[in-house]
Amino acid sequence: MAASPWDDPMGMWRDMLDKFERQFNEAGNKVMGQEQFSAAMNKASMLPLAMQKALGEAMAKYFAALNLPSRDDILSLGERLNAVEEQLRRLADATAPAPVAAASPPRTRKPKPPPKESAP
Amino acid sequence: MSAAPKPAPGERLRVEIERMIQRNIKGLEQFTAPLTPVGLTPKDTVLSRGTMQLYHYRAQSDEIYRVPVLIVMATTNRGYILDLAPGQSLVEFLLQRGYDVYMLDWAPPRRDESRLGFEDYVLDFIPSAIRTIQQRSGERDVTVMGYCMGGVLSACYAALHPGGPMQNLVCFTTPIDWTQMKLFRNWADANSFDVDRVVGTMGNVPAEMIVTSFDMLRPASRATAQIRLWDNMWNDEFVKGFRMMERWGNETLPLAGEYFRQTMKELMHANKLFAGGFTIGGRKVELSSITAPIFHILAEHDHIVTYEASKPLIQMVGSEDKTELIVKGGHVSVLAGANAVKRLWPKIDDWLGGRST
Repeated sequence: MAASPWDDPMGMWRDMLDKFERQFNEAGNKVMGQEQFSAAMNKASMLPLAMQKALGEAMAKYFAALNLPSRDDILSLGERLNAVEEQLRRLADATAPAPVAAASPPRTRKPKPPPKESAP
Repeated sequence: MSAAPKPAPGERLRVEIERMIQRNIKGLEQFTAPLTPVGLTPKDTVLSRGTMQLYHYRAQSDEIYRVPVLIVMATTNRGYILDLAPGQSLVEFLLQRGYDVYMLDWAPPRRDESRLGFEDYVLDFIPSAIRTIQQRSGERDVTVMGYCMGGVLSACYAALHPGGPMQNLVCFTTPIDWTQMKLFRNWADANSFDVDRVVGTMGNVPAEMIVTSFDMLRPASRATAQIRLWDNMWNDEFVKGFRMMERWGNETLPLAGEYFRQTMKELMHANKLFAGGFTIGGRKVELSSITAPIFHILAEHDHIVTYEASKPLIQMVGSEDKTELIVKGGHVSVLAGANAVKRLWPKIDDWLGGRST
């Protein structure tokens, strides 16, 4: 007797989920593969970037008028500190003795020969 | 061979009810569960400079091969994908098969590292890592193993250093012909995607943008993955694997702005790695200059770096000793899935062992 799909409703549901995923992905890829899609998507994502840039510049002018550091000024200070730390670390590395690895096993390993084929 | 008898409908109903109860109990536990531990193979960080981290894994064999292995991780993701858990770790596998393993992994680039470009990765980070390995091991030769963009960086390094010290090159799913990554190419269309504005405004490219672009390749899969998680909530092994992979996806890395700009303009738009004319630090990258033995592993169903995009590598290199292996699987499962453990990793050992003495 042929098995009915109703014998295993969860299995049928899982198959449907797989099918849905495959078909939705294929349909989505078709739409997203169009030039119009990327143009619209990029237009939408560039707008917040432009706003972020304009807002950042306006805030920088405002802080300058108040004689306060802007976010960029603080981040620049952080960068300078990082650069100083980096230089210090390099100097410390240069004056430290060369790193010595923990006792390592001998480097004598050879690959195992392939198993011999038995005579017929 | 006869198929196993199907359980009777009553038995099936009993199993489903039991699983439903387990789903509810374990589903609640998931809300409070800590992060699944990953990357547990013992290691030492032997070099750390900003985004660059070089790990040396502790030997797990009494005798090791002469030539150490340097794994160069993809710049978008954490290296623990190759060391998820005991028994699911390529790193552990290589250590137990007698290799001396290092990994060049990446931390999120700092804001002041937004100027890092291919010059830094290929002409500074990889050579620095190799110098450290040479000092620690006392050996001149090194095998370099690169995954995805790590493969691109490794191939560029190999092309610019044909005289060594790279002894062997192993690449996994390495994009070469970028015209074959059609969706990415469409989204990054030079007419509408202003990469200069993105980098100019953001500095580094945020991880969310990278994750979204990966998710958009399979728009339904994030939702269906959650449904499958619920369906398998009774199965601890499934949940553990899912949570490790989910953590890895969530910890996708931002990209250094200049590196992203170069990737978009030089590789995605102009396809220079394939068509020619890609330069790093004023030096032309010719894949035909690669002469080291090379092993390239491609995934047949890779939706991120398509098979067609990575296929030209073997054809373009100048090596006489070159091997290509096409494996069933996707971009990640090719290297870290159950099939990889059983089938791929032993093949890597077979290929590399004889070339590591």
